[in-house]
This record gives sequence, C-alpha cells and structure tokens, in this order.
Amino acid sequence: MSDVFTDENEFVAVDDKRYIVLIIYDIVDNKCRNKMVKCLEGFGTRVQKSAFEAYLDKKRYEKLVNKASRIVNTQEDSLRIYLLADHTSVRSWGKGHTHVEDVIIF
Amino acid sequence: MSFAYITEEGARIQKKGDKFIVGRNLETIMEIPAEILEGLVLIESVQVSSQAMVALLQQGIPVTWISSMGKFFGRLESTQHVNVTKHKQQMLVQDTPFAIELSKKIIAAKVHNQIVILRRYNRHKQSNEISTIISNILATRKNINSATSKEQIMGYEGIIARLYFEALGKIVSDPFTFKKRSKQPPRDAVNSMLSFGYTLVMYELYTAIENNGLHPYFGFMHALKNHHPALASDLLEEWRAVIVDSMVLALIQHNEIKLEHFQKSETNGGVYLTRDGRSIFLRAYEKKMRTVNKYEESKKSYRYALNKHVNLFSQALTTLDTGAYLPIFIR
Repeated sequence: MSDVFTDENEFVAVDDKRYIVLIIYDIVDNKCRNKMVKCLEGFGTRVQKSAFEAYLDKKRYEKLVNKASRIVNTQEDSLRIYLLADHTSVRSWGKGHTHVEDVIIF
Repeated sequence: MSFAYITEEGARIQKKGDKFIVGRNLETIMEIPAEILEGLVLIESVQVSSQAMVALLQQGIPVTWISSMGKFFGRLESTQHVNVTKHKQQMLVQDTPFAIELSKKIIAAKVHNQIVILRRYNRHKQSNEISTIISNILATRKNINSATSKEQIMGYEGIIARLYFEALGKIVSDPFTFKKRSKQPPRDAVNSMLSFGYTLVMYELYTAIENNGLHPYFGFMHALKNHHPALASDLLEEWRAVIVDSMVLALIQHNEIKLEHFQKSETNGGVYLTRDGRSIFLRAYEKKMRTVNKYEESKKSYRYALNKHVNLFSQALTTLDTGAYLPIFIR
C-alpha cells in the first residue's frame, strides 16, 4: 500500500508553458551595457560575462524582448535572444550554472 | 515561476536594480529576478527594506507574514484591485437564499472529499470502526440538504468534522498520535501540521480573493467576525481534506516527517514544527500545489484550480447564480 493518501501518479502540472531563453549580447558602451545587465537580471541569471539564461512563460518572454531590444544601439551593438524548444537541455560546467528554482526555501 | 518562503531569522530582503536580494548579515544568500517572483511568504523576523516593499507592491507580488507558530500576522496589500460593486454585493447576499444554497454546495463537497480520504485508506485497512464512522457521516450529511439557515449547515458540518477527525486519528500511524483537533495552540504534531497547512492555503485564497476585487472578510457561510477573513474560510472548506489532510497523512506514512521535527513551545505549551520540519513541510506543500489536479477538465495544478474557484465564486456572486460555482469533488 504505497500511496493511499496521495492521488496515484501525481505529477507536476504545467499551468503555463515555459521556455528556456538564452540572451547574448555585445555592447560597446559601458553605460548601455550596464543598463542591459540590469534589465536582464530582472528576468534570469547571468551565466557568462555577456550571456543570460532565463526560464520564462510567453508573456514574460515578450516583455523581455520588448525591454531588451530598446536598450541596444543597432548601429554598433548586437543582441541575440534564443527561445529554445521544450526538450532543450542545458548542461554546464564551471562557474555560472546557478539558476533560480521554482520553490525557494531559505 | 518562483514562490519564496524565507524562514531564516534575521534574513533581509532588499531590492537592487531589477532583482530581489535575500541576505543575512552582509552576505548575499540568493538573488531573485523580480519578474519571476510570484509570491513571498515570510516566517519569523525577516526584514524587508522599504524599497523592496514598494517594488513588491508595484508588481502586485503577494507578501504574507506568518509566525513560526503558523499564525498569520499580515499582508502587504495594494489597493489597486478593490471593486466596490462586488464588495457591496457581498454584503447584500448575507443570509439570502443564495448564501445558504452556496454554503450547502460547498459543505456537500467538503464532506464528500473527507469521505473519499477515509475510504481510500480503508480499502486497505478494512477497519470496522472507520466504516461505522463513515456511515454516521453519511447519515448526518442527509440533514444538510434540508437545512434552512447557515447556522444549521455549520452545525451539521461541525458534527461531521468531529466524526471525520476521530476516524483520521485511527489512520495516523505510530509514532504520531492524533485524538482530536486542537488549535491555538495545537497540542500535538498532527494538529500543528494541519493548522499550518490550512493557514497556507487560506492565505493563497486570501490573495486570490483580493486579486478578484472581492473583500476577504465578507463571507457567506462563516459568521462575520472582526479580524477573521470569513470569505477565505468559506472557500477553504472544500480544499482542506484534498490538499492539507491528505498531504499530512502522506508525510507521516512515508516517514518524511518525524517527531524530532517538532518542538514544544515554552510560552503556550503548543507543539510546532522546527526549522528543518518547516522546510520539509513547505516543500511537500509546494509539490502538492503544483500537482496536476486530475478532477477537473483543465488538467492544471491545484494552485491554478484554487484561483479559478475564487473567480467562479466572483461570477456566481455577480450573477447571483450558485450554478456558476463548481466546488471540487475528488474520487
């Protein structure tokens, strides 16, 4: 009688579909770059010097695209945002692999 | 998205740029991107800077303060959702046939769910004592339909609750024991978990109620009392057994929670979860809230369903049609 108290076969629900989003940039101007960092920190985690990862639903993804794209100077900078498909896995080595968990208990 | 429970005494939450920083002393424990934070529950004395508070208010992130004893302290509330028309309607439906009809519906669901929990267990145990209690509950339940006031409904509900908890006491396995419900303070570990669990669900409902523009203190079933969010209590009834009771029984059954995770308070003699115990409990709670609710068509989480039901209540209230509200019936 393993599990009479919980519903059999419990699994986690996906209320809103979420995507792994990878954001990379090359920004010349320091002030502009800092602004980008600040903006991206509001959505995800910095995984490398100029790369962020985020795990977002569609609504927040759109918001991110909207906000970040306004910061770049299209003449001299570059910004690339990848919306990665469902089954993408991220494997990482070394520094910068922390991501924000869904349940934070401290 | 992220739900954060900060239970460490002396922790501090600050806003830096577009992220929240949880720290202690001068050390940063974690950074949470502001966009993905969905809810914050603070237990014990956690400090929140006023900059962080303003940001939480602006983004409409619900913040709840709870004591380590599971008692509710307060919420950070922004006034942006208040809908006075709905508030007025809530006051007008007091003691009307609408209120009584809806109360019956919710208590019927609650009792049904309680019986399901007992039967699930009794399929294996085949205890005559529990079978007898179930028949007594079924006999009492018949009266609810003919009740004409909410006092009568609550009266029968009280009788059933006592029977139900008596049966639950026979299910709880060693070394835990449970004789009857005791609140304020909870006298044993099981009561302590039940109270803490109900508090958590109640304040999720509270938040959903406010987000729907409704008033948490004007219920339709529980008697109106100062300092008591009666509507949250009303809407909690159908979920108690479904979310909390089953989870508490599972934690005990699977040996995930042990007696060493509880301590007796010297001030009031109540029994409460230790910090480690709280952490295990909160993890189990979050897992439950994120589990697929397979009893409704949408196949979304219990947390989603909880919010949807508040929305259904709002529709029922606006149209004065109790048919619009569909409580949860588990199988």
